[in-house]
Amino acid sequence: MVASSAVCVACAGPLLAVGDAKADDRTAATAAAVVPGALVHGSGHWTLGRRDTARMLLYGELVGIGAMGAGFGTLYVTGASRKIAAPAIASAIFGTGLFVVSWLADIDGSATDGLGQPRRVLPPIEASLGLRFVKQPAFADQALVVTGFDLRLGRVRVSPEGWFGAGRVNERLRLETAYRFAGATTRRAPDGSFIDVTVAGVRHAFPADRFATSSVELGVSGRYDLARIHLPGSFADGSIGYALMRHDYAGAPSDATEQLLARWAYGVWIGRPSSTWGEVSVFYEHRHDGYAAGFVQPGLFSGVLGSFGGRALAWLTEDLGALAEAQIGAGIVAGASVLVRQPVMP
Amino acid sequence: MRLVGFALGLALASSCMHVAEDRTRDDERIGHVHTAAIDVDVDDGAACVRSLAPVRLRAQTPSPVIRIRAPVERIRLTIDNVLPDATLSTGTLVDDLGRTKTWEVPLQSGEVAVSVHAPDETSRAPYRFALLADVQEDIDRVGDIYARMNEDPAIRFVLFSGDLTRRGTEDELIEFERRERELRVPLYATLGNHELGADEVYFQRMYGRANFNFVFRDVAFTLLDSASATIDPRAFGWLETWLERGRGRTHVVAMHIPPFDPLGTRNGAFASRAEASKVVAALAAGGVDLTLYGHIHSFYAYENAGIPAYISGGGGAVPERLDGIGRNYLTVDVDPAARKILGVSVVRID
Repeated sequence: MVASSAVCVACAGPLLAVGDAKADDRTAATAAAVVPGALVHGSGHWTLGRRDTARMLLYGELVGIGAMGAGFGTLYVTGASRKIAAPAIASAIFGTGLFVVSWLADIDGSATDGLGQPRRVLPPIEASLGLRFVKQPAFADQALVVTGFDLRLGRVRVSPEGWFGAGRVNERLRLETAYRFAGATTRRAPDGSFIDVTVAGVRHAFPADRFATSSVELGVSGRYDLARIHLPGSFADGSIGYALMRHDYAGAPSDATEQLLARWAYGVWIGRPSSTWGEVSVFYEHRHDGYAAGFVQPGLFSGVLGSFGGRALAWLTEDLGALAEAQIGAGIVAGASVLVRQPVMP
Repeated sequence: MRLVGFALGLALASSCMHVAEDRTRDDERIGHVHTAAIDVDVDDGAACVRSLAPVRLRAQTPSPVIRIRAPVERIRLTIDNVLPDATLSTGTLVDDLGRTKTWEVPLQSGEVAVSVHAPDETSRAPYRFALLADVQEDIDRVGDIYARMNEDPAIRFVLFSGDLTRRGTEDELIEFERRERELRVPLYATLGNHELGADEVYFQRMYGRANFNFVFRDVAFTLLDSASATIDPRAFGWLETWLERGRGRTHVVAMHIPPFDPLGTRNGAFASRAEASKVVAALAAGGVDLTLYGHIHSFYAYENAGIPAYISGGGGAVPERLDGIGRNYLTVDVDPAARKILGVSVVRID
């Protein structure tokens, strides 16, 4: 993996030089990435003459359609059978992610040759403090203070996080630990790709409504630096996991449930880690237990889908940054945080 | 520019979060029609007004109370979906088709208040009702299920917890109701997500409220609209009132989408686990004795917050395979005097 990463990073050098496409070519390529690119992913890069990348994006689309077809088809044919629903849903989510990411990557890569580079080394500690506004029809609107930090000890990361509502009407505590099998830690990595195994515990209390939920989660998450397919400055994220949940009620027996965890994202880096740097991403989050929860809409289909969102973070100096994010499902979550970190040599 | 677009998107999305709000507002209007010629008001919206000339209603509970004001001496009143042995407090029965009855009702000074009654409504002896859900595209075959129900004389009425049709169009609902006439007893239905696929929610126009509550033989029944995988906050407020009112009685709550799917990784359930917990916590605190759901096309028996919970989505929609269940409905035996659910049985059709 490290070797292949090195090769791809080496490939990315000349590609940045190839990025001298004329503005008119880029406009035409970006338009082609939208139409017919929405149906044939890679159309933008094909227009730019980047046939290898175009083919990879098309393959991504086709694999995505295949996974979606397998997932949704299995759900339809089996009537969402209890014996096979979870892998079928995971396949549908993976396929949808691949389909969307390959399209967004075609549009983005047609419009620019990358606006930034990944962080290849991470600080031992990063901390955040911010505010989130949560609007959920089922609960009172609220503002929550959100704070947490990432502590990295070699390949291990420990990340406690807390969401605190005024008057303690709502409180969500999460402790995640992760082991990074590959990718940037406090030691330099060849590119922005990584793969983690995560274990987490969550306690979410709603004292005013006389209930609380707790969960234990196990998952695998990763990031693929798309420079590996000649799309420098962009990345795709994916994760899959499983959660066991417990619902505690005042004066009534508890319930145990489970939850499929899955997430995908497409994002870009902006700037160089040695100066002002940031990353922007859009994502799909399948979990139904967060503040945003699952997606609802007025028509036939509500409940199964998760939430959608966007996230932007920027390190403005070597130790100070900002994060803004918004997410919509059954509720809306939006807000920002201030970030601080122990400076590192990029 | 991108930020402005994102902000506009968020604002639009915010307005789309209250996905069931229009239906709860419509619930409040159901059973109340006022024109220059006639006023009809049904207490608690327990029946929907289908026409005014002649006056025709569809009952959604066993004992609706109807108030009519019109500058005439008599009025002909037809009520669909009544108990076969129902009577009217005032008036002469002029046509009896079992579940549909017509009475000639005299008005005093241009007004009258009438109520539908069942001969056994004050009895506290045990009785049985049935639960059915998720017929969807299988309307042509639902007659099999009704025939089986008709063979059981103990069934007093049927609760239907959503997905009568495939998309909720007017034509589909007309066809569903045409088939429903094969049923001997009334069917009290709330809607499911498959009633939300048309240009408007015809269910409420044709069947009545999506959220309602009634008491029959000292057992409280609450049907809720969870068709959008959520309960509208206004409906949750009604639920709290109905729970309070139902204290001391056996209380049965039915809705289409269950708060929790027994198979959590599938999440054929509320969109928000937190909201699901809130609703279940409220049901437990309110002393609910039984929860009944649809949406999942199989049969499941489990508990939520210690309350027995059953999913019966076996009305004929694409079935959950590999479960060995097939089409099914439930029968529930209740004992009002003992304040007990005596038993819940699954009846297999195929």
